[in-house]
Formats: sequence, C-alpha cells, structure tokens
Amino acid sequence: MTQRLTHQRLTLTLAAGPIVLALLLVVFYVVTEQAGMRLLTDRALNPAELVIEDDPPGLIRRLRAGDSPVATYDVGSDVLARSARRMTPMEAAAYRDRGSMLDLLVREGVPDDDAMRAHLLCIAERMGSRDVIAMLSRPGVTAVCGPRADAVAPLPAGAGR
Amino acid sequence: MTAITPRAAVWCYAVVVATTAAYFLIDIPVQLSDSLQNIFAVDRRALWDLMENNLWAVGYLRPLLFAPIRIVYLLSDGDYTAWFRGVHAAQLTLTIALCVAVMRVRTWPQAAAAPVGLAVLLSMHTFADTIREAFPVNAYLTIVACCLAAVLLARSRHCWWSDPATVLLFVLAAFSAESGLLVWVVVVAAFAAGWRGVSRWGVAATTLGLAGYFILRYLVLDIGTPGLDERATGFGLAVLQPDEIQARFGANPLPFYLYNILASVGSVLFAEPRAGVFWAVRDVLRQELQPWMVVNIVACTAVTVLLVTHVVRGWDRWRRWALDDADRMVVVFVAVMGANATMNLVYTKDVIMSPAGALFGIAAFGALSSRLADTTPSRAGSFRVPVLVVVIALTWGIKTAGVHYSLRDSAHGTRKAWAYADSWLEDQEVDLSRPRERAIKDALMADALWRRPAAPRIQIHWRWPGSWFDTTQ
Repeated sequence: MTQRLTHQRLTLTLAAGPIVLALLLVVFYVVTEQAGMRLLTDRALNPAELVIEDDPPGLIRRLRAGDSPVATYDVGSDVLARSARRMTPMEAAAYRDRGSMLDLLVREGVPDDDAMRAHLLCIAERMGSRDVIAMLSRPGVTAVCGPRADAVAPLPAGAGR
Repeated sequence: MTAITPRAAVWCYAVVVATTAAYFLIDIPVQLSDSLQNIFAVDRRALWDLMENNLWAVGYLRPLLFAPIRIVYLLSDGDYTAWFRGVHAAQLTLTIALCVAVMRVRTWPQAAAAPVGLAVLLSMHTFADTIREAFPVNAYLTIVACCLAAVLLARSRHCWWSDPATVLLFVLAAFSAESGLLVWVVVVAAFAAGWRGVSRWGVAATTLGLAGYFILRYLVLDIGTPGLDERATGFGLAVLQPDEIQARFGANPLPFYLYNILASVGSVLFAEPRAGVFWAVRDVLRQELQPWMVVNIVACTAVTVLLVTHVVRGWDRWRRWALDDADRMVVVFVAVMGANATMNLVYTKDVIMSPAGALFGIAAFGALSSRLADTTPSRAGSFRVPVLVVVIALTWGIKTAGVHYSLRDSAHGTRKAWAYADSWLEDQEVDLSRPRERAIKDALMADALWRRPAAPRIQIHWRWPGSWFDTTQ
C-alpha cells in the first residue's frame, strides 16, 4: 500500500513537474523584470547600437527621449561581435547594411544631402552593404572616403563591452 | 488546518497561467497590418451597418465579426491599445477558466494531468495566432471559448437555461466565423458520447440553427464558399499561390481538398505539416532542422499516442459504448478535429484548427488523468514510470516556457512594424485623408513606440534555448 502510494506520488510529480517548473521559471523572470533586473536582456543600448541590432522601436524611443540621431556613439564589442568602434547611427546603418534603418533615420530628421550620401556610400562599399548601396546611389553621388574613411574608428582595447 | 484540495490547487495554478500569459500578451501593441484598417472600418460605420455589410461578403458569412470591435472601439474612448489588449487578455483568461471548468478536477491524478491539458491549450501551435494576433478582437479565440463553453454546458447538470444558452453560443460563434459551426459538432458529439447537460431538445434546436445557417448562406444570401483562387496555401514542401493552385487542381480539386483535410489532421496530431507545408521534412532535406521542430513533433505525437493507448486500454468500454468522462473528452475531440479539418478545404491555416487544438488539450487531460489513476508498481516491486508520461511532461514543459518567449518576440515584431508604419501605409495606399483616421494611426503608433512602456526583448545569446523555443507558436 505504502509502495503504491509512493509510486503514484512519484508518477504524478513527474507528469506535472516539468510543466509547473517551466511556468515557475516564467514567473521568476516576470518578477525580476518588474524588479528592474536584466536577466535575459541586453544592457541599455545607444542609438548606433540599436541600428546594429536592428531594433527600430528602441531607436525611436531613444530619439524621442532626446538622444541625437547625428551624434557619434561607442558601439560595444558585444554588439559588433568584434572590436568596439565609434560611429553615428547613419554610419552604423551603412556598416551593417540596414537600409530600412537609414530610411527611418531620415524620416526622424537626419539631413539627407549628397555629402552624407557620399560618405555613407564609402562605408557601404567597404562593407559590401548591397541594400544601402542601392538606396544611396543616385546620379552625381560617388563614394567619398574622407578622414573617417573606415567611419568606424576602433576604440581602445577594453572600451565598450 | 484544512489541506488544499486538488480542485483548489488547479484553480490556483490556472490563475498563475492566466496572469503570466496576460502579462506577456498585454505588452504586444495593436497590430498594424491586420488591425488598423479594421479600426478605420468600425470608426466609419454604425454597428448595424457593419453587420449588414458583412452579410454580403463574397465567400464568407460573418455578420458578428466586426460587432465586438465596434463595441470595444466605442468603449475605449481613444485609449485603443489598453482596451483592445485588455479585452484580448480577458478573452484568454475566460478561455483558460472554461478549460479548467471542463476538466472538473476532483482527484490528485486529475490535478497532475491538468497542467498538461493547459499546456496543450496554450502552447499548441494552432493556438498561437489566437494570442499573438488580433484583428484587433480575435474572433478565433472567441470561437475556441464558445466551443469550450459548449463542452462545459454538455458536461454539466442540465438546467432550464442550458439549452437556450447552447443555441445562443452557436449563433454567436457561427456568425463570427465559419469555424463557429463547430459548436454544433461539440453539442452533437457530447450528446452521442453520453453527456446530457444539453438535452435532446437543445441538440435539436442547435441542429435547427445549423439548418437555418445553411439556408441563409446558400439559398437566401447566395454567399457560397471561397474558391481555389481565395489565397495561397501550403502543399508538400512549398506554398502554392492561387494561380498555381488553379493550374494544378482547377480541373479536379478533389485531391487538393483531400490533402488539405489530411494535412489539417496531421497538423494537430503530429505538428506536421504546418499550414499544409511539411516544414520539418523540408528542413531535414536542407539540413536546417531546428530543435523546436523536433520538440513540437514529439510533443504532439506523444499526446496522440496517449490518446490511442487510452482507447486501446479501454477497448471493452468503447466496444459497448459505455464511456466514462475521459472517453467522452476523446470522442468530442475526434469529432471536432474531423469537422474542423473539413473547413480547411480550399486553404489550410493553423489557427483555423484552434478549436481542435484546444480540445486536443482536453482529451490529453482526460486520457492522462485516467492513466495516472491506474499507475501501479511493477510486479518486481520496482518503480516503473511510464516513459510516455515523462516525454509529454518534458516536451510540453519546453513549449510552456516557449510560448511566453514567443509572445515577447511578437511584441517586438509588432513594434518594429509600427516603426515603419508610414512607409507601409504608403505602399498599401491606405487612405489617411480624414483627420480622425490620422489621429487613430498616430495614437496607436505612439502607444506602440514610445507612449507605453515597452518590456525589453529577451536576448538569449546561448544558442540552445533560442533554437528550442518555437517563435511560431
């Protein structure tokens, strides 16, 4: 009788346990999220990093909160998956071939002039960003690779994350 | 001190399930693609006008489809996201509550099986579009709730209002979308299986309602059914466009119909094919098979094996048609699955199978609680845990976590769509000339992008969990 009871309890636990445990993990995640802890989420990203991460809602949110769409930002190595660099959101779009982000930034007020296009075209050509090249190319605009030719100056070791 | 009862334990568990699901669901903004123009439509027309207009749609009879959208729109008084998402969360909570009420848990084996039933309900791929999407009131979820309510009425003790309530449910569901006709299937199958909560008069009245529906649809309004050129659908390893379907099956559509029915049944029982496409087979051939596909297939197949073994073990009862409650749950599921699959004649969509998916969960609960009540130690005295039970628990456990991950993923995807709303609306040539429509668009866009707090994306950088969670569920 005792053996039967123990066996049944074990079976019931095994039947419901994994599902209940999964739900408890979700509850734990919700509680930590409400407490402001970041367990499974990235650190707060800056506009250039949000462009790299293809997160347009995050980008718009940051711009509405007052971040500049034309400023230069440090892009961490955790986002680039290589050495950290400095770039503007537009440069980040050209760097990672985010054509739709480029369009979004223009809609958000970044000036769209030939000089900017020529600069971004240089980055896009170096990185092989086909969509961005197609978007930027128009008669009279050729790639101009100036002092920020690489556009994405590597940061000193240890900078960014 | 009174110990907690199995019934109370399951209701407490259901509250946690509903709360966590609603937490993730509410974070999803109102959709741009499927909802904005529906909101414009309810803004332009009065309730009766909307209902009448939907009586004349080609191929579809859904006069009640827009009524709840119009009502919630009026109640929202401009606070669209909060109201539409709040109603969606309430629909989901009601569905979960109905599911638990149908289970009617009284014993600990039933209490142990209840999380499995709820996991199947919520995490089944057929249920995904009832919670990840809305139009902006989800008619598919309404129909799932109506089917569960019909099972509950059939399973309960008969009282004076049981029959009128059943007819009302049928009318509400049938005129919201075609899959609402499944309420009639539930009522008839439940009666045939031996549940008497709905009397024979109730069954007869619902059947009269069904006859009236067909007379209205085919003889009075001459609405007909959607043709082969209705929309693209999966076939084999790819999706066929309407012109391809017409070219291949226009002369003899029967094989195409048969494929769609079998594919819909397979989708519920084995999670393959999905919307007519054999995803897993295709991805095996491409050497791109993801772990979540394997989890889906194993999870659904394990429940199917459980149902088959349940019938085999109780074959003596089945042969005599002396069914117990667990058997009746299986009967209702099989009947609804068959009827539901025939509704996918001309195109297959996972969400159309959502009533069958929900009843798959109820049947899983019935069969599993029977199995758990029967467990005994082996003759040698060693503990032998049924492997099938463990496989079901593990795979549906993964899917339980995955459905929340998928909801958060949807929230991000919907916000992303709103970020490019202006370009999309231009491409779609949506008329925004009226100030009211521009105001609605701006309010929804602001809610999606910056006015309401957005929960962060869940970034799982380790490879394994991301690929084990089904973001299509």
